[in-house]
Amino acid sequence: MKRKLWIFMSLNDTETKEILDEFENLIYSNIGSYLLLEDPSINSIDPKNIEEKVLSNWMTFIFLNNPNFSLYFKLYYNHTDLRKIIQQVFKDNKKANDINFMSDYMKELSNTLGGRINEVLRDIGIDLIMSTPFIASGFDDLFLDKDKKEFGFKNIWKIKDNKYSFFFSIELKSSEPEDINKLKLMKGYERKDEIDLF
Amino acid sequence: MAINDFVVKNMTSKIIKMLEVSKGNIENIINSLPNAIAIIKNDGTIFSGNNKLAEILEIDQESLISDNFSNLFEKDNWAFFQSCLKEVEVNKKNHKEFSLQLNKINKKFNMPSTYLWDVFLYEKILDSGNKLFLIIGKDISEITHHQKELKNMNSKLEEMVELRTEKLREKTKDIANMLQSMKQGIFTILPDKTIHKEYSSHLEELFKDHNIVGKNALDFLFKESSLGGDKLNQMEASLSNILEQDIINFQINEDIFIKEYQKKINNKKRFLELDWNPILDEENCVEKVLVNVKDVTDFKELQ
Repeated sequence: MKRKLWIFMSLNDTETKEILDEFENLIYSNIGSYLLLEDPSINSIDPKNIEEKVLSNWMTFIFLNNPNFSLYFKLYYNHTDLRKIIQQVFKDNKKANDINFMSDYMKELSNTLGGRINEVLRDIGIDLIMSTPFIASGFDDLFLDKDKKEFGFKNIWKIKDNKYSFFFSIELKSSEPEDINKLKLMKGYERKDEIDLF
Repeated sequence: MAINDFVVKNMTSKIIKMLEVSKGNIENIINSLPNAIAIIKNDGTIFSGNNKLAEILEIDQESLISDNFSNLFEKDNWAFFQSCLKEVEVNKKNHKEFSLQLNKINKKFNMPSTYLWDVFLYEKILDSGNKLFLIIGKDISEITHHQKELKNMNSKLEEMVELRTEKLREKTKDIANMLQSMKQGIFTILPDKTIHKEYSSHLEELFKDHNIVGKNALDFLFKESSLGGDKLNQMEASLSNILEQDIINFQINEDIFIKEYQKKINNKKRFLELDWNPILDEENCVEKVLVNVKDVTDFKELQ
C-alpha cells in the first residue's frame, strides 16, 4: 500500500504517461531504420495483460544504474525476422545465418538505445553507468532477478510494421522517490529516425 | 571514461560473452536431442521447447511460444495429461512417467505416434505462484508397433493351437472309439516294457483281465504260455535291444519276436497270434511297440 501511495503522491497518471511517451519517442526515433521498419505503429501494452508470457524467443538487455536508480531496457526479437532483416541489410547469407552475428547486431542496437537513454537521463541530472549489452532467451526473462527498489514503474511496447514486429520494455526503479520525480523533467524528445547506419 | 571503468567494462563484456557461448552450447545440445523437451504451464502454454517438439508440432522452433502443448493430443488424452500434471503438482512427486498417443500419425508405421512422457515439477515458479513443468517425451511408436504385432501374432498362435488341439482331440476320440470297437487286443509297450494306459477293450476280454495298465508286457503276454525259458529270455533281450534304439535294431530283431503261441487263460488253452509294430519318434528311434493280439483258437481247432 505504501508504495502505491508514494507513486500516486510523486507521479500522477498523466505525468507517468508523459514520461512513458518520452521513452516511447526516444526508442521509436532510433529503432525504425535499424530494424527496417517502415512507418511502424507503436503501442503501449499493460504488463498485466501479458503477465507470465514469453514475449519473443530472444531478448537483448542493457542495464543502467547508480546506487539509487536502475533502468532496465529489454528488446525482444525472433531470429526468423532478424535473419530476413540482416539478409536485406547486408545481402549476405552467411551473416544472415550466423547466430553470433545476429546477436552482435542486436547488441549494437541495444547499446545505442541504452546510450541515448543515458544521455537523456544525464540531461535531467540522473547519472548512470551503462552495462555491456547481453543476449538471453525470452524464457530467461521470466526468472531474472527482480529489482527490489521501492519506487518506479515498468512498461512494455510493441512496435510493428506490416512485415516485422518487436517488443521492448523499460523498467525504472529507485530507492528515492525524488529520482522518479526528476523524470518529469524529460521533455521534447523529437520523434524522428536518428540512427543512420546504412 | 576512466581507465578503471574501461577495464571493468571490458572484463564484464568478456565474461558475458563466455556465459552466452556456454548457454548457447547447452541449448545446442538440448536442440540436438532425439527427445522432445518442453517447459509448460498446466493449461498447455509453452514457455520453452526444443527442435524435436517443434518437429512434432510441425512448426518452427520460434513459433513454439505461441503454440499450445495440448495441440499434440486428442481432447481425452490431453485431459489425462493435465491430470498427471496435477498429480505431480499436488503430490509434490518427483516425477511421473506414462505413455500417451499423439494426434499425429507416424508415417513409417502408419499409426498414431506414441510417446513415453516424463513429467517433472520445474524448479522455478512464476511470480503469480503458478507452477511450471519440465516435460520430456520419447518416441516409442516403434516399440508400440512391435508390441501390437507381437500381440496379433500371439493371438493368431493361440487360435492355431486351439485349432490343432481340437483336431488332436477329435483324432484321439476316433482312435479311442476304434480301440473300443475293434475285435482285436491292441496295446503299446513303453520303454520300461510296461503296458500303456490306452489299449483296446477287447484286450481285457481276451485275457480276462481288467487290470492291465502298467503291467510288464512280456509277463502279461507269456505267463502260463507254451514258451520255454530260453525263448522268453531271448524275447526279453530283443525287446531291450529295440526300445529307444534306432529302427535298424527292430529290423534285425524282428524275426525273434514271437508271432504265435499258446497260453492258458482261465485254465483254457488259447492260440494267440501276435503282430509287432514299432512306433517311431522324430529321430527314427523306437519310442513304443504296438502289439496286436488275435485269438485264433477257433481257427486252429477247425484245422
